[in-house]
Amino acid sequence: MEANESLAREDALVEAVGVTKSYRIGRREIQVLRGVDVAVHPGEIVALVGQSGAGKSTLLHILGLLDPPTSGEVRYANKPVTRLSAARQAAMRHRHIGFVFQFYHLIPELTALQNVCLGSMMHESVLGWIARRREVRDRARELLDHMGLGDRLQNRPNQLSGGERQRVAIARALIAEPSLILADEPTGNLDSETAKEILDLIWSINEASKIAFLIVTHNERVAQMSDRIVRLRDGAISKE
Amino acid sequence: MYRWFLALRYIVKRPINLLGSIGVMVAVAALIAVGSVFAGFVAEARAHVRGTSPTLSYIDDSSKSDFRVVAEVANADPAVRAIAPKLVWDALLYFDNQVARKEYTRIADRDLRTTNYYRIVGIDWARECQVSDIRSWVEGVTGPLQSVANIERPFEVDDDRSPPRGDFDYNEAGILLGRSRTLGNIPSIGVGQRVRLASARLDAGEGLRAVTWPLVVSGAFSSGRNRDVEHQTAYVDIETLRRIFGEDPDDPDSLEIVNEVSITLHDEGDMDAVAARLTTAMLAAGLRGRVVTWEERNARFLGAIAIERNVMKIVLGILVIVASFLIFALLSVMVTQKTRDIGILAALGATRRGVLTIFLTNGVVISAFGIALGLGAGYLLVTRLDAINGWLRETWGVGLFPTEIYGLDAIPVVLETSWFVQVAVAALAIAIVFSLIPALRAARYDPVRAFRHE
Repeated sequence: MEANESLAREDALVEAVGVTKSYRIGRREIQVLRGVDVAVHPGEIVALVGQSGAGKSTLLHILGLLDPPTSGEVRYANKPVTRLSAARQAAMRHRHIGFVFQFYHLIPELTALQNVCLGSMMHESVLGWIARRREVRDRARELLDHMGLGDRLQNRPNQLSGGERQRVAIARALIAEPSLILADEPTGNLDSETAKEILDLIWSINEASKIAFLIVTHNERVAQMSDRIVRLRDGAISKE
Repeated sequence: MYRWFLALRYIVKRPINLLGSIGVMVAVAALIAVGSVFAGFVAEARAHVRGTSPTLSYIDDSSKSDFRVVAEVANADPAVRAIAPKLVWDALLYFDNQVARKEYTRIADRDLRTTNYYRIVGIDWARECQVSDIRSWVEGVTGPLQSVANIERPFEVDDDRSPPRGDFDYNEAGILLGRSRTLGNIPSIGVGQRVRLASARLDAGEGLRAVTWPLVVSGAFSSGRNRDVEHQTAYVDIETLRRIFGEDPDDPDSLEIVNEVSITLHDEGDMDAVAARLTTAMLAAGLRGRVVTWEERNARFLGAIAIERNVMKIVLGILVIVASFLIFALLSVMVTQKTRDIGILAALGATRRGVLTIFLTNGVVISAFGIALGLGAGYLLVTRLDAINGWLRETWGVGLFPTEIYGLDAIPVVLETSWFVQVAVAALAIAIVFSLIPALRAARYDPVRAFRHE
């Protein structure tokens, strides 16, 4: 399936239209993305592959509204979001997007349970949190339990293995019930057995909840498992 | 919610934050302690000045006023309670006893007072007792070589205690000397000691004339904390001093000359208004002097203390700034360490304002905790300063504050709530400013940079 074809589909959950990104280092301008068009649809798993430096992570950050494109547009549910205020973009990230990173990025001062709950606190007032605290904690426990971490709730990240940390990170991404999870090399820091467990978990989540995944990966096997593959070469889509 | 939750977690889980709190605590405690001791000194100094200054003084520097005119004007004002005449003059006193003088000089050297200079104050004893504490100052001195024979007539020379007249050939008048400067410390100088007063007066047509006058020590006074008065002042009967200036009190046409009049009021609250009113009335009555309040009279001294106190506040304020640098450094390090957290928080939906709040709250809470501890420590320090001073002396032989130098029984301290509030508010304001800088850096941090290194 070609990239432009997917753009034509109106039910895209998120899409990048003609996105470019360049950085200036001294007097030199580095073009990272060169007019990328890509879309992710509800419930699908898309693999974003390419060589190191191809611009995969940059595209992921732009789609996740963490980094603005130099030109082009990002649309969520067909609505342009690139020019929204920083606060509204933050609210969109909270409501619609979950992130999973290669190095987990858990807050070291918090327990596994607290790290997961944090994902639900972001736009909650103190009173609102007090009212929903029990409900959120129960949901976080349920998620961690589902991921086999029912007995690790009170452990801090430095007391968990790599696989366990990544599961906590996935639970944190899930707690706000996003429609899309952007995963940047989610298994890149894990041994093959643990990586397989994490991938199984992602696929089972996708199957159960129809949450769309955009997975940045070097792993060709992961790419082949996904519904679609988007290949980036030198900042441009080479094949989808 | 996340900002408060995370701020609290960061505070609790990072023990190094305690270092910042301790820094602020030390600075605040020092400010409280030194400020309170300084306030104590100021209060002591004011009490000292107040104890030796009447509420109002009529002062005639340029000429000699007639007390009867001054009294008429002052007594016409209903606010005035009592008045007392004074004739103040500078003189040298020479003790007739050579041995005693040597001893006196030796003692005086030890006290760094080698001069024979005295401020001679002529007073009307009965009236003076109504406007000052002089009666209790004289009554407070006991012992045969120091106490007056008759408290109602303290300038009366007691023949029984007076030594043979020798080459003195006059009817001596009495003089009261400060106990610390003469009688108490030197046994040979006591009641009955002959003294020669030497000064000069300006006579119309005759120019400057040297004056000497024989006197006999009739007693001593002790002004307690007001040691300057005790060291420098000697009291004589105002009529004696008038005689020295060529007036004959027995002559009804002679002037009752004064160059000062002490005035006390029924209510000191409106002393400024009464002083202004009396000055106008005095001028209208043809007098050349003016009426000043005790604060106005000592304005230079009181002003100097106020300036010293303000300078001290500024200098100690720098301590708080230094302590706030510690908070600044801690937060800056924290922001650098927490760049990944900032990235994660942004990914989870945190706003820049939320990130700013987390780090600012950290700085403010660490500082506020330090301030609270500092206020408590400062209070404990101030209220136990004498005990600490005593312990240091007994244990290490060093005192924080040699009370005897200042003539005080204890370290003077005044606990002012307003000072506590000022210190707390200023320290918190400085801490907020210093916390805001790294907090703003955190808020402006590009979250993508946190992940880019991967």
